[in-house]
Amino acid sequence: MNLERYDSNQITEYSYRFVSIGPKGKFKMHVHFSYIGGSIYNLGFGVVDLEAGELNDLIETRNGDSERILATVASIALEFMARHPTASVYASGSTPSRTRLYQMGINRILSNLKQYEIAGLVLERDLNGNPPENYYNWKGTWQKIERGIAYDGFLLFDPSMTKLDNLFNN
Amino acid sequence: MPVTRTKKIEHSKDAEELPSNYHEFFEKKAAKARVILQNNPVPEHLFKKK
Repeated sequence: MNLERYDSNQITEYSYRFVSIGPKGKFKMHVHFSYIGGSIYNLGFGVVDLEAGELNDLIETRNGDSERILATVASIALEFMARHPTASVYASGSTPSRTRLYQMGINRILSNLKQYEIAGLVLERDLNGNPPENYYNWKGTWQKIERGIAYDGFLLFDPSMTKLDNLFNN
Repeated sequence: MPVTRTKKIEHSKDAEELPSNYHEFFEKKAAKARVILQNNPVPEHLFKKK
């Protein structure tokens, strides 16, 4: 990937950290891969709220570097995949607008992903265009990602390494 | 005179540097993802090699 990104530090086998730097200051950002079943890991992303000293996924840093942050997170995901070739990585934003941001980031790197494929989850919505409030009631369909379709979640995987008996399918 | 030996406790660098809600924060996200994927499993045909 030739997109500008931040240098990241690997803290543990499953966690990484980097710092966003811009006009609003420095923000520590964490990426963590949590095992959720089968061969799938959840990509979690959070920003450290300096006042509370806690991770928060709703902070808007307004540091003017969202593309660089997305490129950094994508780079970390690819590094994790390289280290765990049979793993699949699920990602979804903490809000619909964050998920759209993820999708924009994915679209930018899609042509560079020779080895990997990305599936997208499209949720059923009500007449107002919203999925059920409680995610326990979310129903949707997975498809190979295409431009122009808004997805609610993404799964990055290497089709040559994915073991079909090791999926998270029942 | 007895010699008092002191042992310096080395705090984990990770523990020092991780935000206090680190594990809870990411486990909550993973739990949500787990439910979504359990209720919406990825069809096998999407994983087939090109």
